[in-house]
Amino acid sequence: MRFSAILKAMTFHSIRDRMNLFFNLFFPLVTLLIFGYVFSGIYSPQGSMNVGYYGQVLPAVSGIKYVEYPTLSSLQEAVNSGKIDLGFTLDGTSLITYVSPANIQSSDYYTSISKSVADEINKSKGITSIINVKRNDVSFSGKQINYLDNLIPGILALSIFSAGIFSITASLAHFRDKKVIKKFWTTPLAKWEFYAAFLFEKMIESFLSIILLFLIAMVFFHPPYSIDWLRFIVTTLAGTFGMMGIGMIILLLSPNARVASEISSVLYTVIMFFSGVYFPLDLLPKFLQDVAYGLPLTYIVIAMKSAMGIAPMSVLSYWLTIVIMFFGAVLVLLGFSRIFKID
Amino acid sequence: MKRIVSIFKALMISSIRSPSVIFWNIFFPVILLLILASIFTNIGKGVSVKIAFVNESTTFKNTNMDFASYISDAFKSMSVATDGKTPILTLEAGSTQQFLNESLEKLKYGKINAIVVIPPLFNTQVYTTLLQQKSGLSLFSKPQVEIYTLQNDQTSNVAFTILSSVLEAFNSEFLKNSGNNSDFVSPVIEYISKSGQNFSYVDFVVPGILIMAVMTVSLFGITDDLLVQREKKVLRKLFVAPLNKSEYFFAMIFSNIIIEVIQIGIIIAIGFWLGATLNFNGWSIFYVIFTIVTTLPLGFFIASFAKSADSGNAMANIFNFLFMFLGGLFFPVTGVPFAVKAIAYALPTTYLGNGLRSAMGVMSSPTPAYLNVIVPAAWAIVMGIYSVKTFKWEA
Repeated sequence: MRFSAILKAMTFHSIRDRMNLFFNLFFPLVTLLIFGYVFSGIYSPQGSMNVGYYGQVLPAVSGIKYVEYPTLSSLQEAVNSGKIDLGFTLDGTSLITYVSPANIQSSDYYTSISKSVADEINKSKGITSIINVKRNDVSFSGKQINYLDNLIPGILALSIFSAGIFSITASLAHFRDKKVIKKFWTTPLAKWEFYAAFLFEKMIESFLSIILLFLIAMVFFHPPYSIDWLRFIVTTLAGTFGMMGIGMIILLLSPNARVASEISSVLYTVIMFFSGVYFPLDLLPKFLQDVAYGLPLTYIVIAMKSAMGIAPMSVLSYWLTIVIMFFGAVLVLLGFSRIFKID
Repeated sequence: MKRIVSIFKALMISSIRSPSVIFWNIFFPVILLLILASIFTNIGKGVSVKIAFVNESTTFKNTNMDFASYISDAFKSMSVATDGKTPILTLEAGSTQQFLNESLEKLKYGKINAIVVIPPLFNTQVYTTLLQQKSGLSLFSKPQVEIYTLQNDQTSNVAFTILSSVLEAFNSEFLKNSGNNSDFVSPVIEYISKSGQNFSYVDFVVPGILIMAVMTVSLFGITDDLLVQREKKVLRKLFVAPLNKSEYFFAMIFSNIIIEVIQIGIIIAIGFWLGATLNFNGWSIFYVIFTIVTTLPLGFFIASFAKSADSGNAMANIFNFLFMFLGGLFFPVTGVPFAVKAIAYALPTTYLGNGLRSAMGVMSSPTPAYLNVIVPAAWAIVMGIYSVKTFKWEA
């Protein structure tokens, strides 16, 4: 009875706390939309490309819209200023392809475009390659997956990470700093009832925000996932719980809620670049890869991708990750709740 | 003046003593610069990819027409470490269907990055195609090398680029031997910069990080100086003393500018250490100062708009995120829907980024030079006027 009363109170508190709603729901949503559009534009350019050329007219290639430039310097200037994506000029047997290093993220795509144009020029001269190269893309799911489809589970994992950590370092810490917990202890409320209601409410809150984010992602971007709902639910809950454990460690190391919140923000901002959310881990330098594989968020990202059916994770690895996250957090929360000072 | 100096000193000491101010204003921009530089200057350079090479070729084995073995040898030589550097390839080789099937499974699970399959009649087909090229006939089919990659996997894309470059080199060699090479066109990629010097991603990102850092001081520093101090009633207590609002205001501005100057110095020093090529002339120094001046009102605007320190912090986060990523401070905003592009072109950071990169000789500005001054200045004026009219010194 007391458990349900305190749970109800916690729920009202969360709903009325605008900052909580902002950081748990609105901010991840903005992140999802901005990163979704910006990164998918970088890695999977859509529509036709504006390509400039100087000198000899180049053969038509699908997906390319040519613009002629009167001088080489005007062509280079247009590439350099980002007015066109690529610049071509034929110098003897070299198809010089001008690219701005600002677009280094799209360099593989630009290289393939340059190769297609060179092939068409050779064909028009009656010269064809001796060896044909055929590219076959395979995917784990057997479906067409683009950069954004890979990004969405990463953003959801980031939300799990932030919801778990900030629920302890922001909410619980504020309860402590404002002496709310101390007041609870003057009532006949058992400690376990308070902590259980707090954790339960935060788990539900995190789960609902993840579901809502996921639905919005489905509506805006239509990713072709084959969702393993068991893995999705278990990853969300165990991930949130695991991150609460980390949040508890941060809280114990911090003198007050503000410091705890600052440490969490720093951790969140730094870790998000190393966990395979935005950039594949294989492309990181070796020492950063080692750092990445030591971070819990990396495993939540992999587990979430496997739950969405777009990346492999063996049954053993998956459940081992979940068990470590779950029991690790239980130990941390139980252990530290004993030394968590209310005053 | 004495009072301004006293408040300035107090604010500076407070900033120096605050680990969060030091982290967000000094360490975070540096860490972000190092992360982005290490990721994007690593692409295609320090990357080592895992390849399975399936040689099904059965004809002309162990003869000088065993072209498949030449390709195999080329890949093997790329898988050997030289001068203590990581080899570009890690190679697994086989010739059976079972090996191919196992490799495909490994590819799906991300354990390898690409598979190259040389077909059974490869050597014969290369030979007949060379003869056909000379005679102009087309009786026999060409050899087709299949490369399997993992869909939408960037490491797999890098592997494909490496493998297809090797095969392209063989193509060119074969054509040379057939006497047809003289007209064969090959692509050559050239990265260009405004100054004509060697230009890397670091050159692009250093001005972006610099703008982000300056903006962060305004968004979080000024918001904190005004909203948190107002909420804690520190401002009220200060104004009980013989200190007027304009004195506090100037001291606060000056302390934030000092932090900005320190962070600019550190970022530029780290940028040069990473190999950035940036021009420092009168125009670029003016534009750095212009960036500082036009981003300062951001913090005042938020402090005027937000009712509490918490809501100010939330707004600052949203502004920071929008301005950083849609302003193209770290990556160019390309290939996005029209509505997103329209928002990007309304943001001051888009123009500040273009203007600063142009002034530093990194790249030509995609937007006209006058807009790179007018748009950020207009934002600053509007936000400044709004702040002056609406900011309340007491809660």
